[in-house]
Amino acid sequence: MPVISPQELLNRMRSDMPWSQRIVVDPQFEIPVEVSTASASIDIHLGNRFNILHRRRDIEHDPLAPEADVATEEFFVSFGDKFPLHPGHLVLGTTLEWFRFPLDLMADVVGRSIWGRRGLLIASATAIQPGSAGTITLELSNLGEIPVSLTPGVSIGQLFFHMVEPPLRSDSKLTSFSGFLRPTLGHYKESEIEKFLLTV
Amino acid sequence: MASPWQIECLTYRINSLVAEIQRVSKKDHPYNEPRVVYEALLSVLDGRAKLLKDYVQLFQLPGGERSLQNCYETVARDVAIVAEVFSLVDRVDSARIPFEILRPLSWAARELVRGKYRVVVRLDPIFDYTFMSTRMVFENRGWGADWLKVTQKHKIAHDVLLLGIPSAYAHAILLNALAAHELGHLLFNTQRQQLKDIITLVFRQVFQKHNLKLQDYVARRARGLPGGLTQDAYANESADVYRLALSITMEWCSELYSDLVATRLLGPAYIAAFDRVLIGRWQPTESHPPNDLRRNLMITYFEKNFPQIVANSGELWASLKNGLSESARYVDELWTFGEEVCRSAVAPFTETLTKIVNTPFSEPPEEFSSLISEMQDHIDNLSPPSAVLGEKSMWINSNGFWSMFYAAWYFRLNRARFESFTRRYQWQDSPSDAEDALSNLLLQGLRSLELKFRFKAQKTGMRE
Repeated sequence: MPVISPQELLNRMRSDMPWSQRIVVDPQFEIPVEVSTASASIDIHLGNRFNILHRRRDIEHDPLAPEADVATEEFFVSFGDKFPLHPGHLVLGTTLEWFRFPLDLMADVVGRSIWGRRGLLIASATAIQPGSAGTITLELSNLGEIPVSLTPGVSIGQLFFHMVEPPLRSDSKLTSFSGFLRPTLGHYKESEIEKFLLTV
Repeated sequence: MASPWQIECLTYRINSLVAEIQRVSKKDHPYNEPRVVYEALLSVLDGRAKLLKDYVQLFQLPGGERSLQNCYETVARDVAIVAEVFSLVDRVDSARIPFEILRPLSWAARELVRGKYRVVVRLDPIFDYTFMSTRMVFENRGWGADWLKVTQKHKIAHDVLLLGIPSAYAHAILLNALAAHELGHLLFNTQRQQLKDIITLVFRQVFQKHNLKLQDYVARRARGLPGGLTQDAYANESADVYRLALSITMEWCSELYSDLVATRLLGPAYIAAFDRVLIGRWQPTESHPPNDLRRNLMITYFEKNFPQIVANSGELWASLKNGLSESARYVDELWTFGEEVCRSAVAPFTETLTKIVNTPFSEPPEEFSSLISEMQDHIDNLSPPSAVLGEKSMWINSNGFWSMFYAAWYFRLNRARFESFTRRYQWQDSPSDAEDALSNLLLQGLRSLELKFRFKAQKTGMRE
């Protein structure tokens, strides 16, 4: 699946583009106006909120039973402060940017190598569905052996966009992660097949 | 004279409070401001503890009882106040607080009042918005030196504004339109002398007009006293009524002025938030005028000063204007007097506000209308309203900040549009999710705008 070109990316961010094809990124501090300065990806910056999944004796991860799912604790870290991520730990974060995806584009979240080489993985569920909107929840984990400092505002990865052909219809059921600002675990929604398989 | 046991109890209270403040100050706060306030409170306590110790040593001998008693009472009062202030700033670290709004609100406060401010939000157990200037609290209690010492040590020149938002609705960002009213109080304080002169003049005029009625009122009150209507009773009641009328006038006018500031910044968005928070609580108190009076005066003010905005908002304005039938019943004649003072103060307040409060409604109506329409279009498509401002850099200012509140409320109040939004994103089963998404869009917009402003300021070297 080819990555869309810098020229196409620029076009998609123009305000006269119809909403069915338009990408919105906000805040966007410097909007490239020429393709020569544009890139085939959009940088994502680390947001201020982090969600820690706590260990508890009587509980285990079970997305099928959200009421019995793990307890989380949220932290707000201001710009200029740091949040240490210890080896082997997982924390949910968000992008600083709010993204609004059109119906004919999806994206992959890719971490920057400068972080990856220090053991930081920023996302495990890396595909962003067409039509979704909100900040992107990042699954930040430290695979290295020493703590990594997470600093809000830092450039932590990129989004690479791909065409979806044919595009989703405007009345399609969109992802349940739309409209979120804070890092979220999300609720599992069973499909018909899963309902069958889980009870057969 | 204070007994050794009383001195011991007070010393224990001081030590216990110091330990608690020290414990809380070590908590993980996202911003430094609460720690500055805690440190200033500790400085006050330290001073009082030393004072008490010195007095005990100096005046425990015969003849010094009175001085020790005075010192004991002063210290006990101060310790109680420190505990009270601490209880207002000790719950400012919950992750439920929308911390994203703190910097944007501080910026809006600076732009409005032209001073240096940082806002800290606390979750208030009561369903109400409250506001406190920490510096003023310290100065009004004679602790200004403690505040100055600590702020100088931390090299900060700003006041810390403590905004209480209802704990039960911490996530409802649309309601934060009421912060405009609280900033109105801040503006009132900075213009206090000028506004006090205006209010005193209005008070005298209305008092003169109501003189006979008030004399009757005083006589009725005096008749109700145990000794009946005597010359002395009348004189005492007369002085009491005068003081009470003046106090009600000052308090009510301060609320009215803050309402007008908020209406000037947000118009219908403020009135809608006001209704949501205050519905069902319409009786006046000595500190607040009746809510239907406040609402009527806001509506009249807005219609008179911004007719074009009213005309452009069409049915939405009409439904908001006529949307409530609740009204207060006066049980005290002084409240009728207070109402007339408020009505008479609107005109001079309007004149003052025109000079000092910049508003998005003063921009060319077509431009404003087009901006709001684009912002709503963005909201409809789950895109933050601030995204519009990237192309309209002249709105990257506090007018842009207030415009986003206006656009979000306008979108919310448009029943057909909001219902369509709810259906489109499949929130029919839980309409509060749709309002949460709207809150998230607004919060992201406010944060984004402030960041863009700071980025622009840094690049162009302009004053932040």
